[in-house]
Amino acid sequence: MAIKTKNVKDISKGSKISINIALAGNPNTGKSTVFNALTGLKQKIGNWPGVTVEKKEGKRRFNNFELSITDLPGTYSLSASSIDEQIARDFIVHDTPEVVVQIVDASNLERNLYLTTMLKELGARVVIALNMMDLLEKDGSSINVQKLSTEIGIPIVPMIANKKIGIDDLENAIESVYQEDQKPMKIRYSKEIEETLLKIQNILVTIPSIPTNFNLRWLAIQILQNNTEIPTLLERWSVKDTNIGELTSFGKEDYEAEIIDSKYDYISKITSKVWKKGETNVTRSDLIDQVVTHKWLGIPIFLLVMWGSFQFVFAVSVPFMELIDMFFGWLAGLLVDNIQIEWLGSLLGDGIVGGLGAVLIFVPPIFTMFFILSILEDSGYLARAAFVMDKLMVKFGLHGHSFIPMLLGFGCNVPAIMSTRSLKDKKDRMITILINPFMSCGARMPVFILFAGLFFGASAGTVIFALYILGIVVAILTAILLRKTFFKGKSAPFIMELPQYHTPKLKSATIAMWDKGKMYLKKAGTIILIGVMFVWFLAAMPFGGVEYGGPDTWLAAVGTFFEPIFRPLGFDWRIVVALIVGFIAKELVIGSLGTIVGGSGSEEGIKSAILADGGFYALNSLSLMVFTLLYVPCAAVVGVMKKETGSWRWTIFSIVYSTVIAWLFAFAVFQIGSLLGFGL
Amino acid sequence: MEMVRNTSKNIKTPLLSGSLVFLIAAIAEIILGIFKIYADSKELEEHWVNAIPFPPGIFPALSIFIIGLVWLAGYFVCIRGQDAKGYLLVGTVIALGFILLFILILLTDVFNAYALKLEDYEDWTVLASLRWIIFLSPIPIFFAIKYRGFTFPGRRREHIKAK
Ligand SMILES: Nc1nc2c(ncn2[C@@H]2O[C@H](COP(=O)(O)OP(=O)(O)OP(=O)(O)O)[C@@H](O)[C@H]2O)c(=O)[nH]1
Ligand SMILES: [Mg+2]
Repeated sequence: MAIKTKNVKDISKGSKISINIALAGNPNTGKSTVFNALTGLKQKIGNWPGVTVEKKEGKRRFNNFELSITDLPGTYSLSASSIDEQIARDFIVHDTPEVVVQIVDASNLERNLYLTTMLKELGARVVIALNMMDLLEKDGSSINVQKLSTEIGIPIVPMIANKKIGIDDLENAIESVYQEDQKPMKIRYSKEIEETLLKIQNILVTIPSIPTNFNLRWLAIQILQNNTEIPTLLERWSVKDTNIGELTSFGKEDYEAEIIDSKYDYISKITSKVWKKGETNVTRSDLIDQVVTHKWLGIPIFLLVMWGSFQFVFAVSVPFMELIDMFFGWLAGLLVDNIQIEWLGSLLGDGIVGGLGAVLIFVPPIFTMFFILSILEDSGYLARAAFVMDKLMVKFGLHGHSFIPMLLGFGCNVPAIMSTRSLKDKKDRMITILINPFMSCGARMPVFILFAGLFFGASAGTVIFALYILGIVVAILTAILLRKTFFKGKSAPFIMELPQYHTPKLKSATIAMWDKGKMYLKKAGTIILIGVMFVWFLAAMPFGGVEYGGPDTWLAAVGTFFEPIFRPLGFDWRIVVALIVGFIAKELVIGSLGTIVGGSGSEEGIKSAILADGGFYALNSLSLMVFTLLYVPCAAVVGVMKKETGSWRWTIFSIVYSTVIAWLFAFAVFQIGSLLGFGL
Repeated sequence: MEMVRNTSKNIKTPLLSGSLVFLIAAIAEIILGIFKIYADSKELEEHWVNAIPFPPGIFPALSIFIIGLVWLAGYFVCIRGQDAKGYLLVGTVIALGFILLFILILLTDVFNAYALKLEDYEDWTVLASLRWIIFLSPIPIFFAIKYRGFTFPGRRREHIKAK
């Protein structure tokens, strides 16, 4: 280290040298955890493979260096088969970072080292962050780090990233690797392969348009392995067609198998020398998985956990909601009564406090929900729940791998739809994107909590639970429908890697809760504020004479225009307006109802205002909840859907389809309910 | 090896008795719960089911039922001579989770009724929120203490390690 420090001092003072660093590695090894520790940013962390699906850059100062660090999606190899893997591969191959930090899961050494061989083949300067040392120790296994490092010629830093152990050593290792050249790894292929590689390389050097710094041996190996993306790459460099033809004729499938085998041989020779397995054959994770992924018990346990979660959310948040409701009711009354300029009092009292208050009283349940979700994500249970449900999907002739995106949809559908990038098959991915909006996101919960709480008393938690289940069922049915019609074909085989269980950390769950909850608050202060002001304006126009929120306002004109379509669902024009505005953001359903109904200038909160209003009762509120659950996703979801499917056709399909489905279900609920005598 | 055989044998009887108690309680609560729903929907306030001080509910009963099933499945795994520690652990963790949950609900009910004085809580008494599973808590608590070695992660790992 001393020598290195001297080197650094030679560099003229003040000017920073910037180093480009990539954080690469297999999925779920802790890349984002390391990234956050290094940069102080807050990339999402979760205990399942495929959390990160986009690259993210962050900076860190270290001695005289400015480290520019990029967190990448996880990848098993450099021949990418899904979109997230492509992102990682393209960054490593084409952006040529100066140092690649590979995060290796110490408890899964052999498979992780496979990626190392590919990184080295590419000619990257690699540092290994040997993460999850705590889990290794827990299993009773051990790795001789020193020996491993000399064998493969790569500096290795043992780490426990989630406790920030090893971060300083990692920085030092990055610095020294940056200043030295690293020897290539000694993987020998058969004579035939080596000779062919040379032949290919000899052709490659004669092609001037290939970037000079590109590793030709790597390229030759890819050509030999028949990598299907190579022709496109060569075309991009405008290599002549005749050359491309000549080069690709070298590819053979036997070569690919042999190359992979040689790499694994090399790896297992080394691991046998440095890795000592603990006596454990069966780990605690295995014992628990026997139960929670059990053929018969798996799904009941999942449903039980979900039901319990809603009970928890409800129990914890009700008292807080009551307090907030009381406060806003009092505030609205105060404003309306005491501000002399009538329209201003109404804007502040009815519009902003009424509407915004209606959204803000749901801060407690939303935060609690996010808290529970991140506990489930971090413990590793979410991956099991997804596994169990995926197995069920496979039984229906559908593909697995849908349920992690679906369960993430309980938080927000936007990141959930992005997370489908880790699906390999394109059709599977389309189906998974299209069914995602039926998973009830956090923004829909206020509608459920408010109306279930008002009209279903002690069963409120159960009603909400049933709504979420309805969402899952509709999603599965839609998937079956899509698979039978537009997306025929076989789906990719179902293999899923289950992460190890971690004891969830209260602190990180609280941070995750706050981060996601903050978005809700931010939305309340921006888009929802504007939305409720807009609704207030329409509810007060035309100026002078009309009763606020009454039948002669502009708002009523819009609502009554559409009302006939919704009358069979039991909605009056005010609900119709709220649902229309809700397209912007689903929180606005409650926000606008708050503005219209709650803003009667009384000292009551929105709850009592709705109870006192004749337009709401158990049955139509149930059909309203069903409609809100299923109808058109919000604007943000439409946007991300367009981006991820790359198709307006499917995006519009989703909008129309979900709204029709919502109408049908709400219709059924209202009409059957009325027949049974539950009507007004 | 020795220790493992001991553990497996040791948990066979507890698993069976625990599961039977839970299953019987669950079935009883489900049946009474159905009566209760019937009485509520017909608004029969004088119905005998309303005389039960701790109101039965179907969903809370299902949680007891599933925990019972998990332990029962564990018992059969034991009989086949396999390791059933996972079943004991998962059942116990879920049971304790729900007991804590219902105690929490009880506390918030107390708060809603006496501190906030909410209208919905006018006729409410503490008994109304005493869920059946709370009375069953000695069983999972006993399991948790007795089999702490493998019930709670991270401590006395030799139980888990052995197979
Ligand atoms: N026990 C233990 N857990 C860790 C360690 N480092 C990270 N984790 C946990 O491992 C899980 C995965 O961490 P991430 O940082 O999301 O992993 P990633 O490599 O970015 O995953 P992808 O983005 O899905 O590829 C999280 O639950 C972390 O809290 C560690 O050193 N020890
Ligand atoms: Mg990540």
